[in-house]
Amino acid sequence: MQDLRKLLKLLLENEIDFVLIGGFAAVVHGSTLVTQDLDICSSMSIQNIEKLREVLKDFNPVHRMNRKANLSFLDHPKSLEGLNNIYLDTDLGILDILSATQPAGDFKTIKHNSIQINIYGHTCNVISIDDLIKVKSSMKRPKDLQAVEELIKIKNLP
Amino acid sequence: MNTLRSKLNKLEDESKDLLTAAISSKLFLSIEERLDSHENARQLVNDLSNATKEISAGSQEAS
Repeated sequence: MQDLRKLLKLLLENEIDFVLIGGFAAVVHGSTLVTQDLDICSSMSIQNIEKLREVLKDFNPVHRMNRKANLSFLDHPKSLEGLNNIYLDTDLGILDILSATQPAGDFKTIKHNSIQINIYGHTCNVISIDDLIKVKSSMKRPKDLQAVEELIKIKNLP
Repeated sequence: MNTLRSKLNKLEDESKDLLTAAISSKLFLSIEERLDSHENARQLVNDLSNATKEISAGSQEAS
């Protein structure tokens, strides 16, 4: 059963190097729009990916781009070098892992600009509102454009 | 320029595939599963909304 709280806790407790992005990052900044997928921008170092595999090993992480192929993240890809994005379905919910969030920048840039929140007893990096606006502005989906409008209003609140 | 266009097209296709995959996975959930899913997301929204923002030298926002 979906348990996104548990998923986020696992990432934090196991010191995965990531920045929260996407819809739940927008929630941190005050957005009212709903989402049910956990999106993170993450270091794609071999060490971090191996840690992710270890963290997710009991939760059936499967690559969701080609669901019919039923490829487990635990085995695929074989080579961990040069990974860009990983889109997973897990027993705890959907987890999308991006190496960069253009046009805001790569993971290093996003992390440098990020804010920190304290949640579940841990510090969690969250994409800055400026970077989030940049990213969502570049997307064409109606829900992202709606999020941009809202985030700009939030940013300009007194 | 062609390389950039090709990259953008690839990203758009990838985005469409993801959307299709996401819709397909949720389409056959029972009502109860959908309610549980919404409730779980709501709980995370609650936790994130109530999380305290930390003040640091490099941060752009402060609590």
